[in-house]
Amino acid sequence: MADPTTVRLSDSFHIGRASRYANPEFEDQSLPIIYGDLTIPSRENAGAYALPKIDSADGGVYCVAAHEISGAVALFDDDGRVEPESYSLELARNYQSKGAIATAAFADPPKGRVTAVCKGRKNDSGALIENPAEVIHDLMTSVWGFTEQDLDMQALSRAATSATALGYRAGGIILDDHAPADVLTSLLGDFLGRYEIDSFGRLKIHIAGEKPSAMSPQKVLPRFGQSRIEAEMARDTVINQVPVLYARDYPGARYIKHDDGSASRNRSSQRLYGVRRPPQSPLRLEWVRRGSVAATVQSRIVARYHEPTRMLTIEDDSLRALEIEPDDYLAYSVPWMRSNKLEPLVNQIGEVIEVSYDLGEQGMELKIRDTGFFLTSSPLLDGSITLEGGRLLGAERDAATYA
Amino acid sequence: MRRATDQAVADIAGHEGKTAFVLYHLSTAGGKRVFCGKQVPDFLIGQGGSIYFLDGSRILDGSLLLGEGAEVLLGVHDWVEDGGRFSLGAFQGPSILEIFREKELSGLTIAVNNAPDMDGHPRMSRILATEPLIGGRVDVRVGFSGQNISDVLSIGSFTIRRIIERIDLVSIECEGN
Repeated sequence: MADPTTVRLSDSFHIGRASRYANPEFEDQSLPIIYGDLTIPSRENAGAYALPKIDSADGGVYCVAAHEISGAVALFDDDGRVEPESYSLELARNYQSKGAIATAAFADPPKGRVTAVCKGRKNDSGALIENPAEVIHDLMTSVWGFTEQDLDMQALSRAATSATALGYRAGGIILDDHAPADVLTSLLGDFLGRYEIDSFGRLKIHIAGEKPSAMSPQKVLPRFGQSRIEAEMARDTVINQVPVLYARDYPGARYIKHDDGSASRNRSSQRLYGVRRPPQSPLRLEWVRRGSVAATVQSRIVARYHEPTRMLTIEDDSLRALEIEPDDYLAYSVPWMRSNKLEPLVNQIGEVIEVSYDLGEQGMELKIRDTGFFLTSSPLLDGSITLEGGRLLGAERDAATYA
Repeated sequence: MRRATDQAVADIAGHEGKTAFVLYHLSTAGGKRVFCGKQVPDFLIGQGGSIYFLDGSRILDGSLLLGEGAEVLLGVHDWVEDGGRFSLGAFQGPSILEIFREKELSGLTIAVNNAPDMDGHPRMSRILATEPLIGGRVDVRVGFSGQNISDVLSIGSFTIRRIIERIDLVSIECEGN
């Protein structure tokens, strides 16, 4: 297990630089760490990132990646695409005995800055690493120096399955010194995922699955007698259109692709609440390069937020919900509130957004997103009820008190 | 949902009106100290040190010494004046989309009584003078009376970032990752 006091997610990770080689053009140039398929979207005149020149002799040797890569390399200079005959490409070269990197050696100097597109790091099976959860596993264990003991492997596996089901593919480059926590936030945030450090000091990641109906409440909260409960609905929580920028162009510090979100907007929500975009619109999806992935992210945000969300805050002066974590679903009862069918809000299902502990006073505060779903009852057909219409078997709200 | 034994779940369900034991495990290069607000039964404190998760990533072929790296328990101190607050989930509002773009765990500040010890020295200051607390790890755990260590729930881990020492009180400021 890594020592959390010396190898921590908030500490800056220093990326390799050209200074490690004998004769670089500029010693400060960073060696790019590449994930995913940067050949998407296709480009004719320039690459997605600039290559450091790690040997200035003759035509020059350029570092395509600071590691072995999958291939599909195309290089560009100021005149456009460079013919492959002009350089010698090695996808895994132990250059100057400093470890395997991908290099391109030119016989004659190219014109101006050299940029590239390629496919990034491979896994042990030789397949391109694209699943966001797999990217995180590789970053943690192969780049940042953590071990699998520092990862909650079950959570990682669940996140990878969710990402696969949703068609998520990550593609991006790490070019600067960074804190791992910042990269995790950026990478997971692009795919509506999150991370936390569990109480064993392990990284636990979460990418919400494709079926919101797959939730099952882990706990039924007791009815809070003395506690304070309030619900808040705000227009600002509505998002019915999501403009995005994606496919980052690193040399130009800009994004190649833009979508205004009109294809995935929710028209009925816009008629009711106006056009509501995210606060930092357009969203900058640094780790997304495919239009299909961007469209999935857009449509999932709209599907989740196109109606005002009822957020409940429950202040309880005990620790009775101690085992609850963010992302858990739970059933709660606030009978004085009403559902959209004017039923008392009993055994309503909510998603926990935030858990706060007051350890001095031994109390908790839960912030819960009302999902609109509720526990249902399933009556036995034992003659005790009559099937004369007017009942929804299996779909009626369960009014029982469980705690 | 946190990992919790059936006994722990039962304890939590029947917890109303009772006081739980909140334990702050401070692990540093020098060993481990457990701080709490009131004296805790020994069986709620347990053993510190490295934990190996037998999740398939380790082969038990004799190369691994389970329990290797266990820490020295330097003391258990019921000196906590204020256990502080912290949040998981970091919802800042107004848009809950932000929960995907913010870090998860807030900070935590623990206030520890620094009253004189039997020699007349402020007792926490004595520890601060000799042990490297900065950069150490704080695990917050909650247990209930009359049960055992497996029923103690861990609810957060932090790193000590700053310590403010006064004659009567020491504030230990921790950051979440």
